[in-house]
Amino acid sequence: MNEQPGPITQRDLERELASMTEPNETGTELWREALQRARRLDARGTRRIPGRRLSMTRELRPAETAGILALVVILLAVPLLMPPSLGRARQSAQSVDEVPALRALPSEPPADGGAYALAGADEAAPIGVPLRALPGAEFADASEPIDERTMAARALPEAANALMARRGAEADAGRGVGGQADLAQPADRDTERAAERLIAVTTRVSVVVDDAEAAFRACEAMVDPAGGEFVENAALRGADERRTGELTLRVASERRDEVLDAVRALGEVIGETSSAEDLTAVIADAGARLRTLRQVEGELSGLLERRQNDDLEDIVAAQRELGRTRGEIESMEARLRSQTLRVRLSTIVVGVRERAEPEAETGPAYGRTAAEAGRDALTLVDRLLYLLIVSCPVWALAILIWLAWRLVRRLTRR
Amino acid sequence: MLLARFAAGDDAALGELAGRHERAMIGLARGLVGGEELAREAVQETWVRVIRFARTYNGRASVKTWMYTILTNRCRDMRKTERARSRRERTRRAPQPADERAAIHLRVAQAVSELEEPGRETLILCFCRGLTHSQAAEILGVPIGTVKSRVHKAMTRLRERLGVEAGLNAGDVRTGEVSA
Repeated sequence: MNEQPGPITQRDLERELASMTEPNETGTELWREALQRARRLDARGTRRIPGRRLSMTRELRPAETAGILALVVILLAVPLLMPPSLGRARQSAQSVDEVPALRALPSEPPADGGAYALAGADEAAPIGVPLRALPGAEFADASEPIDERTMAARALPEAANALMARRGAEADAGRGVGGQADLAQPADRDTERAAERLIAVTTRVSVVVDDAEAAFRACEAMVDPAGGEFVENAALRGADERRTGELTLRVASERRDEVLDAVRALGEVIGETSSAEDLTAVIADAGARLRTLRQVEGELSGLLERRQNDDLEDIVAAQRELGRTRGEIESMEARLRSQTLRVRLSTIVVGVRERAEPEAETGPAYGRTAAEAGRDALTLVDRLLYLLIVSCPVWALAILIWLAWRLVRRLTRR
Repeated sequence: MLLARFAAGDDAALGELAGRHERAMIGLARGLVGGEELAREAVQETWVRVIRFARTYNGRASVKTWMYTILTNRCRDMRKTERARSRRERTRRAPQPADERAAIHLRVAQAVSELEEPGRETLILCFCRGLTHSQAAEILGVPIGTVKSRVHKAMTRLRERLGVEAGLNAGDVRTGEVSA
């Protein structure tokens, strides 16, 4: 017969609850077994067991975390410190109105005559400085042409000396803008200031075209030979693809904008620059010198005719001087023609470059896109390889430091 | 200090630490998992974790609380996976009680094992010798008020199941200090 279980008191309950967690009477040295087991696990170290989490030794310490973060920062910083990479900068197109030289000109000419130097024509000439103030300038003083001084220094018959003295006096009183008849410049200085200045403008335009040869022909057709315009030089280079070339057009200054518009319309303008040189004083002085030389020539001719019976030596000297003067006249005329031509005919230098042939549109656009993506991917791989190689010393140093730190840890633990 | 010495490489410090706590840890584990073998296994695994994580001990809790927390968590995991095996073990280990005391022990043990978590776990911890309610709260990671509430509920349930005689001070929950 089963006995009925006895009643359980609160005291019994508490006693039993306490006995459930009664400490062992004797030690069991479980800790020793645990220590050996832990050492074995540590020795196993980083071995990865498939399907299980990494062992506790793979847990990152704060120092390891800091080292990894430092590496990441360094790797990100290397590309930023690399020199600028690819891509070509396009030259910004400048219109003539944006040429600093022209914009920087004062609105009024120098109060005491002369002319302003323009940047581009002479780098030693600062903008706005009167020519006569320039050191080493050929025309140090526009009111005193060098030709007078030069002629005065030569040993000439007395009449020539008197003539030159008279011309020097006239020069001190001021002179107007002279020169060839076709210029028709007013002589008065005030009128000269108000008149259009004699500017030689050179414009360089670079265009990308589909067909360089066709562009060349088009440029050549832009000049008007009847108006004295011409192609100064033309050169086309390249055999098959991407031909390049350069033409120098000399066009009437009043047609410059018209021709530039036509050149720009040939293709894609990738660069345009303009420079301007004020030749007003240069031409004026050249004209004055030429005038003076011609007057001297006339006087010398008259002297020879009137003094046929003088000493042979004097006659020969006068003839020699006349010859030299005529030579100077011819040289000055040529120079004046050249300077005048530069003003009358603006220079347009056209640089032509053929555009790369587009790929044949034989298939869907995504084929080309894929090809471009492939090229970009190769470029990216190339850059990554470059980055990897560049950062090799950093990697090597980081690995060495990590290995050394682990070695120190193991030695310390032992 | 013992743990710090061990972390610095002094294995004897670990032995000293084990001498202080291992027996009590086995007792607690026995109460939590309900079997001697499982308790020893839980304690050994606790030592393994203590040894491997000794350097990461940050000192926010006492070493005892830290170790007991590891032990409690380990026992919880083992209980989840070994529940059926533990029950069979207790059944095998519990032959026909020879005397009344043994019968009471068996009934209480069975009633406790049938309590719901986390009340059971909290009750065991609070009756573990050497642990205060505040230490139990720290080990479980709950406020002390929660600990008291859980213990009260668990005791009430036990009394209902065991038919504890009325009239006793049922609300008087003692710490682990039970007079023999």
